Amino acid sequence: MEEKILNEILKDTFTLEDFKKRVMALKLVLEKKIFASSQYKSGSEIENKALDNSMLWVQYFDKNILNEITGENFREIFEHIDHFISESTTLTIYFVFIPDENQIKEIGHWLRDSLGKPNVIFDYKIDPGLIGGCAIAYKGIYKDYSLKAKIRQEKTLLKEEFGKYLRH
Amino acid sequence: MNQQEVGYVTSSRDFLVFLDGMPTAKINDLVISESGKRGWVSALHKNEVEVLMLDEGVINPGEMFKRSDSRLSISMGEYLLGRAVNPMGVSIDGKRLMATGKDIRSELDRKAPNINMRKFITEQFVTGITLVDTLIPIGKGQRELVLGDAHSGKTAFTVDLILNQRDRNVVCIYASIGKPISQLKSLLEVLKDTGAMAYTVVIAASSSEAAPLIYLTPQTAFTVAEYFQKSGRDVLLILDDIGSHAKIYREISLLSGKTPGRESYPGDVFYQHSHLFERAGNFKDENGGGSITAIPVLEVNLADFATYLPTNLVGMTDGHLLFNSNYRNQGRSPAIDISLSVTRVGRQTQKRLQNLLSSLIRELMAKASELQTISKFSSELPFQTRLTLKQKEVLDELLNQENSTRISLQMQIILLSLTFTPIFLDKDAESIKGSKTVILDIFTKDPALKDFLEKIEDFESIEDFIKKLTLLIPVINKYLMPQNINPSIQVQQKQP
Repeated sequence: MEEKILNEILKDTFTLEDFKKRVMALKLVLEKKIFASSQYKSGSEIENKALDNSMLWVQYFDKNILNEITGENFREIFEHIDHFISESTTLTIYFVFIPDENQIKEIGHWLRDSLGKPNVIFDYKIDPGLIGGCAIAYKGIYKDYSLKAKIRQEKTLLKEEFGKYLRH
Repeated sequence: MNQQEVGYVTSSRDFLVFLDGMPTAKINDLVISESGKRGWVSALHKNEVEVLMLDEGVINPGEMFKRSDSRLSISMGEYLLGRAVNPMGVSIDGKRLMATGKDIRSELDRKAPNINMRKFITEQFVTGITLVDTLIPIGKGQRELVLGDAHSGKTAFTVDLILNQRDRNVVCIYASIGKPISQLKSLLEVLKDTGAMAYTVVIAASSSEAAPLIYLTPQTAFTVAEYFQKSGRDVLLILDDIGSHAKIYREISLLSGKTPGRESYPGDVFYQHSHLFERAGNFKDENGGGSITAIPVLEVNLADFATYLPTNLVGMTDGHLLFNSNYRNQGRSPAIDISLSVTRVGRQTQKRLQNLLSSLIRELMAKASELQTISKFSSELPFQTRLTLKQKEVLDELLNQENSTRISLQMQIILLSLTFTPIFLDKDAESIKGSKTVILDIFTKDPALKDFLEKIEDFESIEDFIKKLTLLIPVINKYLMPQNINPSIQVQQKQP
């Protein structure tokens, strides 16, 4: 049951941030439904803005699976999901631009196909200092595939080439 | 493609940061945050790396730290002499550090040399202070703890130790641990005005610095001391004050969640100091020769000084000098309680004559101490009792030495031996003080006295020496005639 719900969440969720928000939204909706109580107060502006998209996403969640979640298995299911977050090693990608939703989906699908792991999620950060390309950090190793690293690597060659065009 | 190890901040408390990542991090690796703040790896937990921050500032959750290629280390060279730096080697005296290209980089946390790299301590570390050199001698390579209550003159004593090393080819290192900036400034001024900065390095972290930086001060001091020792020089290393270091370590440990032990100190506080003091000693030529004489300073409450930290430090050093503020208030300088001070290694380094004199003086002090009690109950004292008490009075006056004065070993022997001659028996304390100044001068000027001074080491027994000295009293008295003495004139004594 826990795996089924996790797989359903991960079907169209690719980033860690989205995953956490959607799990929170799902929890709030289910709490209201099952226990008739919720921390989500529709009047709170900040919370609304942060969770609105996720609340929208919950509306499209498979209703059959939602109905299988009851008061008895609610706690175990969300403990399992929390365990998944704490145990999984997140891949962090550094972009120079802010990717939109389609780009995130594309990257997410590509990652899952390339790694052969359907449940991989990634985190992304924005670092304009990289100039171009990207950098990846996974399990404490940071690999820099950016333009900045390349320029640094070829600094001597670039200086020589530019030097040819300078008037002495 | 550029590859590095990184960690992300999972939590932070003040100067302590926990990182997730850095799979092959080692203790003492340096790490740098995205915003350029530096820290070093202080502990490795199962899922986290604990980092102590060297730079102050806000650390945000999720911030990335990169592991740098270097470890916790400092650049050193001859250029450090005459300079004041912080524990990371950054200059704090307003001048730029001039690395000459011949500097070497050394890690701060090094293992102490083992026993086959050391040799016996056989040479005396001359402090130029009569009381210490004669009664509580220190050897080159010894660790001698200076402890006492507040305002008992400990820091002034340590500064005198530095000033008296002029022209002795000794490198002095003063580690100021967590002291206020004002105190540091006045110390630097004194050292500069007296010319002592030429052979001194000051390593300081003031009380306003981050706790981890203050914690590193003694390690940096020992590392710099080892650099000079390996070039064959004798080094005097003063750690003022080691109690502040322990308190800072306690603060860091409690914040990082270590279980507190006695007096809330962590269980390894003994090791923190012992592994540092083990780096002092007298070394064989294969290990560079030279020596490191360590003088840690500790402020205690004398009413209760057998507490955790003082007993730890007394146990790991080769002796201690106990300073008493009551003595200082009575005008004694240095305010050392001789009966409670110990040297475990220094006596083997003393010259034979001075050693014999020291035994004689201790005998006199013990006798006088017994008789002082009896004398309170009797108005008519026998001659021998009165003589002993008078000799003790003379001795007390001769052991008194003003700050920033240096007396050579030979002159110390002569001055203290005069206690056992009749020269001072009819003089009061004020006259003795004035006479002392004159005597120090005439032994370098009068031909007969100068000749005697040069032949001091030929004497085999102290009794012979005192006999010969007694024969010179008429010569000395010539200079001490009432018209020749004006105790109100303060004569600054220049030492050979």
